Amino acid sequence: MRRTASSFPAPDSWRGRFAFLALAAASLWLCIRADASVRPRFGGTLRVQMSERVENLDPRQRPSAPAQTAALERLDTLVFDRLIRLDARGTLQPGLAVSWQYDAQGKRWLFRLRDGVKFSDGTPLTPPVAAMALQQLLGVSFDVSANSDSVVIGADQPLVGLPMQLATGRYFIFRAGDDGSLVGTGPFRYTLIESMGAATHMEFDANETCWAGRPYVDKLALSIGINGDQQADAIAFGQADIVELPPSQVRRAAQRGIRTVSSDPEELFALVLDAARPAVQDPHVRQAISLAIDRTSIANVILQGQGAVAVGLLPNWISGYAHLFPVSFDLPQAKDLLSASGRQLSRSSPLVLVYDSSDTEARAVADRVSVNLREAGIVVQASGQPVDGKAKPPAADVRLVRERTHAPVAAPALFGLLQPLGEPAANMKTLDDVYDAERAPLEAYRVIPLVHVSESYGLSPQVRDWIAPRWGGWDLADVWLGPPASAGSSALGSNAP
Amino acid sequence: MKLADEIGAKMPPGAQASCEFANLSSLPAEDAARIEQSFREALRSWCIPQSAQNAAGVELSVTLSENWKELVWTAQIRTSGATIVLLETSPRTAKSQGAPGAMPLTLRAEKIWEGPRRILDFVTLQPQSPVAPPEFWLLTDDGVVLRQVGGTIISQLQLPRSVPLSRDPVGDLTKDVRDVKASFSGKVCAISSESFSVTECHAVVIGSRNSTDAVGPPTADSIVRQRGNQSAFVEGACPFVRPVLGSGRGDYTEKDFVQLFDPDGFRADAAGIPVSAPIFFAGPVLDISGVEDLGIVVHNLESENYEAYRIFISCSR
Repeated sequence: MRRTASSFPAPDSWRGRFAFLALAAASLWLCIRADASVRPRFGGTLRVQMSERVENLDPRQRPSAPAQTAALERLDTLVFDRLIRLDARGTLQPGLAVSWQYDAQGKRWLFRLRDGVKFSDGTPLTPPVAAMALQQLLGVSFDVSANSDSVVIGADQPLVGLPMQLATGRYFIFRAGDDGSLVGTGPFRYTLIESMGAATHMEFDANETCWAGRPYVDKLALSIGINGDQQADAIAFGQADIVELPPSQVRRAAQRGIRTVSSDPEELFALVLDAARPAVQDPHVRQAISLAIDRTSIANVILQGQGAVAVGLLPNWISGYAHLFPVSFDLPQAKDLLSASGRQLSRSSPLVLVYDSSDTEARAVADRVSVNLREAGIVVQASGQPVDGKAKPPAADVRLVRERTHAPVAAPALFGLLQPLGEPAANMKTLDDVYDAERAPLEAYRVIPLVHVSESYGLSPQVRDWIAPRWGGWDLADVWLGPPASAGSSALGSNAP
Repeated sequence: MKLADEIGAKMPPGAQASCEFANLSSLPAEDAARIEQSFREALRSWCIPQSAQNAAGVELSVTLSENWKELVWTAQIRTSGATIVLLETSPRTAKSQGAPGAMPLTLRAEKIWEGPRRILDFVTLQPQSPVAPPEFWLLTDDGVVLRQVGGTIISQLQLPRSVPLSRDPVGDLTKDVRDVKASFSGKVCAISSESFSVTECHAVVIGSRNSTDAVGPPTADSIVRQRGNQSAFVEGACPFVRPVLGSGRGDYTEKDFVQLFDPDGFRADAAGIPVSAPIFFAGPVLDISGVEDLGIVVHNLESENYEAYRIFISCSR
């Protein structure tokens, strides 16, 4: 997580820490113990709120709405583990698998399981159980089997990037109980799911036998389906410890004195143009659309400074080469291109732009895009449509999409973006390969990036050791609850603007 | 430079280009200028002098950029027909650290270990021969004792475990007359410093749950050494002061420092007196250990590695 405010304790802060050291030797221990604020503490209930509705934690679900997918994966990390995990540097680290190796062609991979791991119901993790779970998640194009201490994954094609694939996404190891419920090896086990009107309440207990160590908090109380305004109020009034903050709420929350933390800009807002449709068949028209959009206003005004202008699909902090994709806001050139193309996008045949009707940020961005395009002479019919994964995506000339970055490494991150955008994602072994794969849809103006947005949270003063990946997500097993931080304490930073 | 070679290979035969360099990275201007100079040297035969005419119309733009992990070099060779893009990455250079200052004591940190495994504690064993390098024993969070000489791990030993792993494990290595005592996961084991084998282990009474790891019961030894509390008394550093080496008070998300304080300068209503300049680290100080032989363990938040440092104190008064 990015921290823009200085969180470095000044040496002056020793004032409190050592103020008691001159007391009698007999009380020396107690004095320092009482002031030892660094080491984590166990206990307490962590209260978390989320906006996205998730009906159950089954990783076999495939919600097609990106926000639901992200929410489900986030919840699944509470209960389940993957074979491999990503550390905060984006480096692959052993998870339930302690090592992995592959054959010369990369078609057969062997993952040796960690000894002594148990599911939260006490049953041991075995290779057949892990293989069965992965087979269901990877699908029939993979052959997943078990041997004495390992899971073996094979395919007809070389499985380039399989470890990174298994370290992200929904590839969790689970075991189906006799009653059909799923249990995992993760830090928590869920004990309660109940609907409360529009919201759902879930409770999780600490998994005392978690192989990676018991989480610090005893219990996790999760309310989901809570809208952004309600979440901001909940954190302000001490009714929650961790809430999600939509971009439009972050600045306001900080002004209310709420501690906020944000990831690096990672979520892509982009326009996807259907080049098969007559309205945007001409590449000059597509280029004109790109030139007509004022991305800076979208980032700074519509998204309240929580977004960064996107010139590529990957944010520059992941790729490092975004300067190779120059974009500009050039209304006159956009008009010239439209004029040269001879296309008329008038009231009688407007450009159809669709966005997720349940997404207030998407609606605001779509409205701004419509205004920009109208200034260039393109009449736009912006239409909110439900994107819940159940209905078929509506036919449209242009779709406004939001896609999250799943990994902080260029190749898998781009792979994860290209697939839902309907763009080919070839094997990408080098940074040159990644650049070429990203350049293709951008140069053809099939995808027009708009902004990258940070993922933001509001934290109560009690929340300690919030160490979340800079590409978003959370790690609630390592969070602990301390006493409220004193005002102005440097021990807990905030990156609120 | 590899990129310079690649540029040479992609240039139109016999052509020279007008060359531009740009620095978009966070590298300091003087460092970037030095790199640009060496790049210009490497590309001398491909770049036309600035005063000369660009007859072939070839343009070369080299840009130093960065992502969060490494420096990214891009080269764009523009000819009349097309643009060729070349990319190359290189690791960032490590930042130097030091602790200058006009304080009575001077701290210096020497890194003896860096790696992805969490280090709980380490001890230094002086060799019999004065010319031999010192031997370090490091205790990892999975109960392995690593024996390192001259930067190389020469052997390792697995300690038995009696309680489950903790998310915030603590362990302790203490030099004895002939052995090293290792406390880890509810057991205290004696390890022979000659044979590097466990000679004896016994369980210790522990609190409930993982509480021993998070908050250990005070012992006579810990009153002096304050292990796990990110502070330790320093014995014998200087004749005029018995300072406390302490870290910051942030949580594990914070960058940290160590600094020496004069405990006699503490009063209930006043600040302690710093007696050294702080040394800053790229992550939290997880452990401070030792009385005469000081060491700290740092979790580097930039590299995600765990680092073990020996701390040396110079008395300058």
